[in-house]
Amino acid sequence: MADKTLAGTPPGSGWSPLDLRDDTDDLHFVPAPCQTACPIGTDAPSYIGLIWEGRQLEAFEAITATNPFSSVCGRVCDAPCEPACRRADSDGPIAIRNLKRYVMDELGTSIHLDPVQPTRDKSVGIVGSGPAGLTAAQDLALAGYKVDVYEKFDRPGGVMQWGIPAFRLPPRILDEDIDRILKRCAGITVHTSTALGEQVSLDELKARHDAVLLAIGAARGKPMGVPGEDHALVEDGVGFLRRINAGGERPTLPETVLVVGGGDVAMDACRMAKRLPGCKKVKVVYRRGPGEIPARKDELEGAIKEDIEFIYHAQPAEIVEKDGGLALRCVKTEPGEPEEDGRRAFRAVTGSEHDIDCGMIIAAVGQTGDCDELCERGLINTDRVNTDFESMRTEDPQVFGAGDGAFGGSTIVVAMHHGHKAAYYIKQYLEGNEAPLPYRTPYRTRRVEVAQDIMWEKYPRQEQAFHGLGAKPADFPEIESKYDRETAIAEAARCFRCDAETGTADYSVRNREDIFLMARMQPGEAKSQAAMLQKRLRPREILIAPEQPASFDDIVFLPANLSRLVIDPYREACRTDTELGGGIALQHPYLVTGFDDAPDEVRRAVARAVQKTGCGWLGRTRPEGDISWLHLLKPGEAPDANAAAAIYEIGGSFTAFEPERASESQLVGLSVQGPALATAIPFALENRLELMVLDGTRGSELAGPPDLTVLRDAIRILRGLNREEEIDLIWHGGVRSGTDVAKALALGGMAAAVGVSMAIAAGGTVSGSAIAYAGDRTFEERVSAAEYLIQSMAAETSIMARCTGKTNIHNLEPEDLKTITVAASEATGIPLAGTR
Amino acid sequence: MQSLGSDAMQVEPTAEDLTGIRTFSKIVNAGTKLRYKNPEPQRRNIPFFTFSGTSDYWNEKVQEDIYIKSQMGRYRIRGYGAARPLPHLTDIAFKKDLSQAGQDPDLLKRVEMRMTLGDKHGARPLDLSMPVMIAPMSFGALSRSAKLSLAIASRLSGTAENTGEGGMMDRQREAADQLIFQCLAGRLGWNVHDMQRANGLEIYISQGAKPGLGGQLMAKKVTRELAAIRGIPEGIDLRSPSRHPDVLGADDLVIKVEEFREATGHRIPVSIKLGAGRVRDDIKIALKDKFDYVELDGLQGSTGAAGAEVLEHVGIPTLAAIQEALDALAEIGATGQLPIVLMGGIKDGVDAAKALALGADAVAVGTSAIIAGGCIACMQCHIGNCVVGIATQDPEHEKRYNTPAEAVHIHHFLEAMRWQIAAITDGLGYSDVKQLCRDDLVATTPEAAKITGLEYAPQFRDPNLQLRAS
Ligand SMILES: Cc1cc2nc3c(=O)[nH]c(=O)nc-3n(C[C@H](O)[C@H](O)[C@H](O)COP(=O)(O)OP(=O)(O)OC[C@H]3O[C@@H](n4cnc5c(N)ncnc54)[C@H](O)[C@@H]3O)c2cc1C
Ligand SMILES: Cc1cc2nc3c(=O)[nH]c(=O)nc-3n(C[C@H](O)[C@H](O)[C@H](O)COP(=O)(O)O)c2cc1C
Ligand code: SF4
Repeated sequence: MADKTLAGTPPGSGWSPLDLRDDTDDLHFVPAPCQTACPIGTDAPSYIGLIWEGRQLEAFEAITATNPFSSVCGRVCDAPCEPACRRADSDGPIAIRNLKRYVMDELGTSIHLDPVQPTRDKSVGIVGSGPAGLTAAQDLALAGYKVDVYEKFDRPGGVMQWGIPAFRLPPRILDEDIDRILKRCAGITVHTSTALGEQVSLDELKARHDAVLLAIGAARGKPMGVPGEDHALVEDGVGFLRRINAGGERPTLPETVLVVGGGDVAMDACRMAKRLPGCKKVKVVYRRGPGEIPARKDELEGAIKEDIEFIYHAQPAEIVEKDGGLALRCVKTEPGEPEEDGRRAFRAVTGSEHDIDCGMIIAAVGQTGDCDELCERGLINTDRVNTDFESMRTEDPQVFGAGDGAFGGSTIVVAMHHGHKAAYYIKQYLEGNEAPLPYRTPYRTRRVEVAQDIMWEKYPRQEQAFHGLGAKPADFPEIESKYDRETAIAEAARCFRCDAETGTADYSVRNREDIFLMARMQPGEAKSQAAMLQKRLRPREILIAPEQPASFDDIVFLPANLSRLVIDPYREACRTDTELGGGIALQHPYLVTGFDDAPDEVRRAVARAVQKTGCGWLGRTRPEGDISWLHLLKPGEAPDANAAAAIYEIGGSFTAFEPERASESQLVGLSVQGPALATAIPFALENRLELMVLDGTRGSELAGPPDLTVLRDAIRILRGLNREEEIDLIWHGGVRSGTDVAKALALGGMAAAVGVSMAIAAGGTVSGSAIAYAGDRTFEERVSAAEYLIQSMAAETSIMARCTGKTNIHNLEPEDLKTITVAASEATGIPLAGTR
Repeated sequence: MQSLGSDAMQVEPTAEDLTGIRTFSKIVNAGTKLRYKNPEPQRRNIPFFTFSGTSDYWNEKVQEDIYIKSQMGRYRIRGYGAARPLPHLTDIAFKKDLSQAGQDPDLLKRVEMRMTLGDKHGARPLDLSMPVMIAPMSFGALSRSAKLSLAIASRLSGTAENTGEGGMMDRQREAADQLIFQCLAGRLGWNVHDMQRANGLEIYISQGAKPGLGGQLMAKKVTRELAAIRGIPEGIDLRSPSRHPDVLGADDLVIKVEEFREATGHRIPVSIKLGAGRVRDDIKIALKDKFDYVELDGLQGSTGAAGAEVLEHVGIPTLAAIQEALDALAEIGATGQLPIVLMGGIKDGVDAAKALALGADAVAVGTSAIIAGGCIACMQCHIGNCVVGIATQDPEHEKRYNTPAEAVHIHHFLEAMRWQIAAITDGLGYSDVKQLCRDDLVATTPEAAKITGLEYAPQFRDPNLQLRAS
């Protein structure tokens, strides 16, 4: 459970929905299909990623950033994101809605942000407290306006309050969201039981407020238009839902109930009827086929699971009394040609009249907007508030429209989109901006890392447990229960994370998405093809910065193909044994370094691995065990007799000194930085020193990329003197892999020092300019990790040699290399690929 | 048999001969030792821009890499190609303003794109409706369904599909109009019957993702069916050899080419697949060895599985590869004598048009075709649990792949490429793709300019595209 004491402190950045930064132009982000399918642009991939990481508070932030009804949506959102999910095509979409519910159930009531006070003089009157009205209210209040919401009903919430039954949406969930909105937005006042046209008139509102928003929904049930429908046993669906949901009634129903219609009201009415006392059988009568029914898929499935019968292709013609009950006289229909909205038309089949007997009929065949005053003033056109979708304006410049009342029946999330959009245009209007930029849903990313769950490809979609009617149906217990933690994490792991940048520059998220689009474009369709061409012609960002320092990564090997005999890497060995200065024999060309000040256990573990793998040790103090030790010391200090070599640290400026040997067999060398090369090399040759450590670390390996010019210059000086063979060069700087070592060898080195990489393998973490070790590993684990690192590096170094056709890593030569940046070409003297 | 030679004759086998045949026993390797001990910990991508370039030198990716190696004692393996930013075709721009290009609905009628490939030595050439082919990708690395959808798409777009390593499937043969059959060093699934029903033969020497090394196919993907088609034990970590056993050098290769031609009555073109390394030398040898054309694959070229270090650090970028190839031919006065099909990081018709203008004769797409067909670029192909059913042999996962739908997607992608190439050709004032030339191009980075010798014109970069988004 996340830390609730954080309440009031906005987690993440830009918490307020109104100063959302739009990331649409970010070069490493393309909004995922789920995000663009969401009318309010919910950053679902981020919250899914955060859930996987257990960062619930941040997930809560991502969810609620643009969605004031997040708790409601966790249960009953239409979730257009899910069919858009790319995983829908493989093994089922991510259960984005269930994941939202998981977070909201955990945190929904516990987090309240500091109230925002009104800061402006102007005020807005909003009629209707459904999702459209309250979303606009929140946006405007957060922008500093005073907002008065007028609601006809005695409680706010619109359909969410009176329409959606408790078994799908317990009332406390709606209260939770409204409570969050009102606690946060000090500028909102809700006037319940105040209907436009009854308690208040439009003129009054226009006088009181600088702008008015009509978000009145569509809640007047349409009649079926058949004889007999005014019978007492025929009830309008909206009224039925309202008296039971909001009124709390639990009437006893006749045994068989018919519901006519196939939309939202029909679905909730039939499932509600099924739960009421007396009712045994519920049948839904719908005039078209199962392919055309507008009901949400999960609701339809729920109803079927609850044993509700669906009668398709039946068109009511008349209602008659029969045996003390009713009969719905229907005609059969058959499909006709597809209509404009894609649904098929239907026509009645002659002579197909039949009766469906029942005790009660609930008519749920559509709703219209409901306000006589607006009708009288000509603001309602047939059944909607006449609103321009581009500007959300009505004919009255001071009055705006939004939601189902303006654009017809939709969904909660679409109504919220209208709310955001209306608030945007109202603000522009209040600020006197007559030609505002068109509203655009912002797409924001929280740049959450991709879940590192090894099961992500395998987990199937996780469903919530379904309980159906429950033990006491009339109490309307919830139909589903939320995920537990494990299930939520498993579901979150499944996300493809279409929003996240990929691991490859060529098939970056932008390129990948364009390829996806091209694959879905109509061939030869000039307009879209031309538009895509323009997109693709845009130059890419410059990925190799001109000022970027040369690095090992900018050097590549040239493989053997036809011009050289290819070595079979899986069957032919490649030698890595290394002899330094004619006296030190190593299994691999690696000298481990940098452990003089490491914790004793780490030092001993690494030394053990070095001994086991036959590598060398470069350091000031003597390692434990039988190891070739290259003793680092300052001029003037005495070399240790146990050391295989004495390496005098010269650094960047050279002054002549007396190099010593502790014994005849001990080798001697210098460790030199770039500026000292010109004097140190002749000195070393003169004194017949066997070794030279080329220090390209720029002071510390952790400082950044190594200075490759040290290697280049040393070779140039030696070559100039024609004495390349007389001294063995050991590279020190930025070695991260066996490949880096192979490059150092090809450039002229005989071995390389491995410092930071070994520290990381031994359990160290880079923290700033130092390595920190935690006590989280056993001695044996450290030994094994160090040993494994050396083994993998040895494999890498030899693979590079084999690719170039060599069976001994020491046969690598500059001729096997090319560079891929101008900087690297200059720093190493190796030609750029493609050039000579 | 057509001829037995002068001193041979046909006789009935003796009873002894026959029992000898009956007691013949087949030796099958159970493959138990051919599997890695510690499986590689599975990791999902760290964004590509976390690399040495402008990131910290000891960045998250480097640390992760060292950590994983220290846990398994082996070099790492993954799918896809070189992933870091490299000099590429994207660093080249067209000089002319093309902002109005591609708007004419009759565009395709006005631009000639058809080409033939492979008739240099008298074989029946491939007939391509545009200079774009599908890159060789093996059944094995890819599922049967994914291979099938590529074959269908190639037919719908009038181009050629390629078996890659690992044999030919009957359904693939039927679905593709033109199918190139690849022969690898391991000769997996190679036989004369399939050679004869191919439209092209290809000797694989190497590929851009892992030049100088053989292929890898992890145990998870070596199913019974796959093992049968390749003639290997089931469930091993397959590492194919990198050298043709009977090709030790250029001189053996010329004999091999001749053998292929004889086996197929000189009817079928023979090409060579080369990963870009010492391109200058290799191209000259390929010309001398009488190949009909070369499939040249740059460092960016992808694979189903290869060592991560090899993917990133062996070979030269696609841009350098085409340049060296052209230079090599020019050096020996053979310009235009060896057609080159360039691949490795071609993502659209724009990349393709640039490659053609630089001097390639055609291009091939591997990864982009896969992405068009539903791949999400997670780079986990080597594991074998491909989430969309492409790089997998697991029936449960393959089930997720909708072959007909994805075939159409790939086809549409190829058609978008066609449109783009045509639009650019037309926009530059030409009527035939063959007219595209270097004079139309400039380089927008110092690297691209040096590699190609094109004029350096940084003003063609987009000033709004900062180096990296914050
Ligand atoms: C039964 C039913 C179930 C549904 N289930 C879902 C679902 O599961 N998921 C989903 O996404 N969508 C569902 N919908 C659709 C969704 O509820 C609506 O699209 C959404 O509520 C519309 O929001 P709104 O703000 O425009 O209108 P409403 O929610 O209808 O709110 C309008 C408000 O205005 C008030 N009002 C009306 N006239 C006046 C007046 N003259 N003066 C003052 N106030 C007035 C009303 O009382 C009401 O409170 C369902 C709809 C119904 C009818
Ligand atoms: C899954 C996969 C399998 C491949 N198998 C083969 C193969 O069997 N033989 C071959 O020559 N190339 C193979 N390749 C390499 C491609 O032919 C081609 O060189 C490369 O994908 C081109 O780069 P691109 O993917 O960026 O287009 C394979 C590539 C992929 C992605
Ligand atoms: S989606 Fe499949 S084919 Fe694509 S990268 Fe991932 S594993 Fe490979």
